[in-house]
Amino acid sequence: MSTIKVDTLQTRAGSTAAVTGAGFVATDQIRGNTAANSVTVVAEGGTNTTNLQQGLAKSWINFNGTGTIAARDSFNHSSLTDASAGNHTVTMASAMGNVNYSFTGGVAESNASSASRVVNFGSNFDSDTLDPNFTTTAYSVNTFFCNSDGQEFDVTFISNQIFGDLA
Amino acid sequence: MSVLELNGRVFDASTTGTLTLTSEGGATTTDVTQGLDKSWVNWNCTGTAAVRDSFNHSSLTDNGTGDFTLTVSSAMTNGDYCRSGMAGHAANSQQVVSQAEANTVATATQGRYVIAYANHNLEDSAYAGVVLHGDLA
Repeated sequence: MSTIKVDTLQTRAGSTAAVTGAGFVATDQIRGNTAANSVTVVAEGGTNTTNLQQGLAKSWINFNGTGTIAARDSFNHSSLTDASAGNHTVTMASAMGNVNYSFTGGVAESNASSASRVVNFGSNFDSDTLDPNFTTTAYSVNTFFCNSDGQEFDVTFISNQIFGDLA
Repeated sequence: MSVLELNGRVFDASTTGTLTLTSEGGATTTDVTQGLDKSWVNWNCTGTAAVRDSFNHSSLTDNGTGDFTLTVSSAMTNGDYCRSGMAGHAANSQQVVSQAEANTVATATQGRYVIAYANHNLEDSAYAGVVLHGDLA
């Protein structure tokens, strides 16, 4: 194995990245060399590789869907809209590359006597249509009782994660 | 293609947990630290509940039928992280639902999850999975 000992890496333009400790590279930004938008990472098992960009959640949020709805914590999120009971629109700060992104989520009610809730995305049960606000920057979150036959209810704890291509 | 081999870790310059990555579309950037899943668990709820595989997970507590507490090894900064999950049963086609937090609010190290049929009855499903995103301490 070859060893290069260095304290600082410097680009031709003068930007630097420090090499510190046991195998740490201290840097603020990672950019692919062959393609700026694609960085490959060796898998845990060592056989395959995976794509760093594709594996990251592009947006996530934990919010309270009751009363005046509000985010508890979030990433790449700009605003929340309370359209109606159990029907909320989440708007992201940085847009996705298209509307074909993947979403997942969970809901919970802290009331011990509460029934199970489910969460859907992009469906507008008030109008029985796909939500018109489903865009590269926004998506609707719809929460229901499991057996509510399409009737939406507000929920105290709502979590969503978005995966896909960032613009 | 350039390959940079490291001894397992990449730190940001200021050690504040911010590491920027060029987006797929190239028009913007995203935050690697914020985008990374901080914990995931795949477990079997039936019989003696057992974890099949996991990341940043230390223990699984069986609180009763369809009711579990998951504890992470490395703590989050608070209980306001984002969590989602799915569940399924191998023995029949009835749909079960994974629901974060039954009666307790999540803490920096623990979250409580229930598995239920659509009729609200709790069930020990064969497959349950939970993933967490948020701020690691």
